[in-house]
Amino acid sequence: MADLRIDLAAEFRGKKAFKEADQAVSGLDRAVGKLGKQIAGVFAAQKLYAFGKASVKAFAQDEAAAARLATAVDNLGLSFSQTRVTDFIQNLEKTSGIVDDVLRPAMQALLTTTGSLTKSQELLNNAIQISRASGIDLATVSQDLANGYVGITRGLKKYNTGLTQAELKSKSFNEVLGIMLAKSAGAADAYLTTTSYKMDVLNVAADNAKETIGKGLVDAFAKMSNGTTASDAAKTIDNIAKAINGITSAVGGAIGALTRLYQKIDSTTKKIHDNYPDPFGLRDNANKMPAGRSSSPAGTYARIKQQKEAEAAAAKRAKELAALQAKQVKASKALTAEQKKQAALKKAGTVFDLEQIQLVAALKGKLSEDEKLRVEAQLALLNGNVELAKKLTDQILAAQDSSGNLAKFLAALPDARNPFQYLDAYLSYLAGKAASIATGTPFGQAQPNGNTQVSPTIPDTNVPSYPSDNMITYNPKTGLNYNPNVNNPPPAVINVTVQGSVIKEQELIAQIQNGTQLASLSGSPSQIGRIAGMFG
Amino acid sequence: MPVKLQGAVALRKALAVVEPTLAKETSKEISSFLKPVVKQARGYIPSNEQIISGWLIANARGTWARVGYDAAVARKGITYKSTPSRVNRQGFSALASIFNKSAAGAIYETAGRKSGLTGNFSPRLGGEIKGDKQKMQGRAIFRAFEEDRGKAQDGVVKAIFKAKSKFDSMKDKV
Repeated sequence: MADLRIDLAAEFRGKKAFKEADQAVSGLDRAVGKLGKQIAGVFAAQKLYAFGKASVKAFAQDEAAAARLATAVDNLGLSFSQTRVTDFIQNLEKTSGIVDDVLRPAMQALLTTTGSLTKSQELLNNAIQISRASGIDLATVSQDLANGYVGITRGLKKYNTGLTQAELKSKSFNEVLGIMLAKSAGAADAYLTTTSYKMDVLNVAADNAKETIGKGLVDAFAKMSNGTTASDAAKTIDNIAKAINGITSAVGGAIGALTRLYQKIDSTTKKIHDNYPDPFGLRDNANKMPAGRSSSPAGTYARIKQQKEAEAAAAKRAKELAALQAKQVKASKALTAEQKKQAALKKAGTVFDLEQIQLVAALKGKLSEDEKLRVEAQLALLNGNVELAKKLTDQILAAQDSSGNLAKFLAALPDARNPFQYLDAYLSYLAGKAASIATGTPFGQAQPNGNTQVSPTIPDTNVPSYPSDNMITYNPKTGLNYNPNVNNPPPAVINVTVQGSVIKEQELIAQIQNGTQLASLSGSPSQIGRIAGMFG
Repeated sequence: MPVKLQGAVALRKALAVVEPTLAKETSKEISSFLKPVVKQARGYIPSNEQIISGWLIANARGTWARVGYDAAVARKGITYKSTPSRVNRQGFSALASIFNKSAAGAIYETAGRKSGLTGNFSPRLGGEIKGDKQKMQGRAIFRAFEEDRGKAQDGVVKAIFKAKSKFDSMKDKV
């Protein structure tokens, strides 16, 4: 039966299905919780693997950077100072909170440029200070300083030294560096009090820990693969990864298995060490950096000697650079002085320039404005003053437009005439015509009263022609031009072809004479009436 | 269609615990809006004399004996409720309702509203089917509700809001 009811107001309080869904979800949560706990072991193993991999990678990168720096130090002839460089980097890392991965390339850039260990150390400290003050990363700052050291100061502009580009070029590197250091003074010390520095220190510690763990893992893994190199370690790491993936199926025993795995690593390492002694010490030294320190007491002497030689070479190079820079500045100054001298000579030469003298004399005379402009323009052209010459030429052209062709055009314009001037004559003509009609006497005949009417000529009523548009043209350079003959082309040549022969005047006279003589002989003499002016 | 309100059930429960007097007042006020509709609906229930004789409870046989018509029972079956109902399958709880509970009353209410007034039964019932949609059409309560033109519904909602504002003011005083 239908539920017959009318609900006037209702409230949605949730469906039963929702409750069921809630219960299902909470059940799922519990299940997931259990599952999470179960797979936590697997995750732990995977995290461990990931951390191990990252550690090995960090160690490999650190090792590569150290090797690059060591090579650079070797190439500079400072192989015995390797330990000092390493110690310096380590100490700087601790005090500045900058990881050695950043310090090493910076040091390398400075060392290869300056060639001096002490100068590089000093510049690296300066670079850190400038980096802290400017916020620009240390690698960029150290590279800019290295460039500045050899005279390429373009990169120093971004540090807002307040120097112009010309000043940066003309000032020595030490002067520019002094300004930069003065502006960034205290920045490095101030940074040491910040939380950011504390975080950096933690970061350095974590990074070093990772590298240390990575080194240990590489050693251990390499030995597990019966090898000594990093590639051997990589093989073992891959095997461990496979093992961890295999462990996923047996979730519960993952951690235990991993523990056993590491125990196995330890025991294997020990076995390798115990069973296979290393007579040449290669195994332990395989991944070690060359110390560069002599085992003999004479090593210190050699190191100091090397260092002194390198310092001397660097000082020599610095002197050469300074001398070169000074020479460049001197050459630049000499060039400027020479240019000034030549300009002065040219100025003096103008005093004796006859053409100029004439022009100056002309300017002193009485000249019209147009003439004055022309002379001044000529003088400017002679002196090589292009701007003034152009300005004056423009003025002349403007004047030409207004007083030259325009004036001609205006002069050619006809006078303004009275358009009704012809009316008097025309009215007289009409009156004469009317009178002749009234009297019945045609024009030009004597009238009964004895007067003779003369027919007046019809007056010209045409308005005189004015210059048409075609007669006037405008050229931006020469101004207005007027050509009254533009609409009257030259008369066409007409060739007349005469049938017969054309004779000269003398021949014609001769022919006439012959004709008259023949006529006279045949009885028809020619008569000439000089008074009447007749010939027959 | 019922007006949807949120928090009304909680309010009524809170009133019942904190302010029983106000709760009773609210119920009374809601009832005062429902009563006229119920009264009107009961008025549309025909008397025993007006109904088909074979359907009367006294004469009904077989299947019809269970749903035999008695005007008194049918009138009594038309009631109202001013307290929240249980949550239905759609998740709604009614705050105020009008019912037609008796079987005979329900038959009288709905006969012919779907198939039309055809055959020997529904055309002879009399009355008038009124209502908005098919499910809200009928001869008694739906007709009365339709003719009420929403006054009862407005009254119920206003009564609930009034109770809420009173409860809020009391809460602030505390």
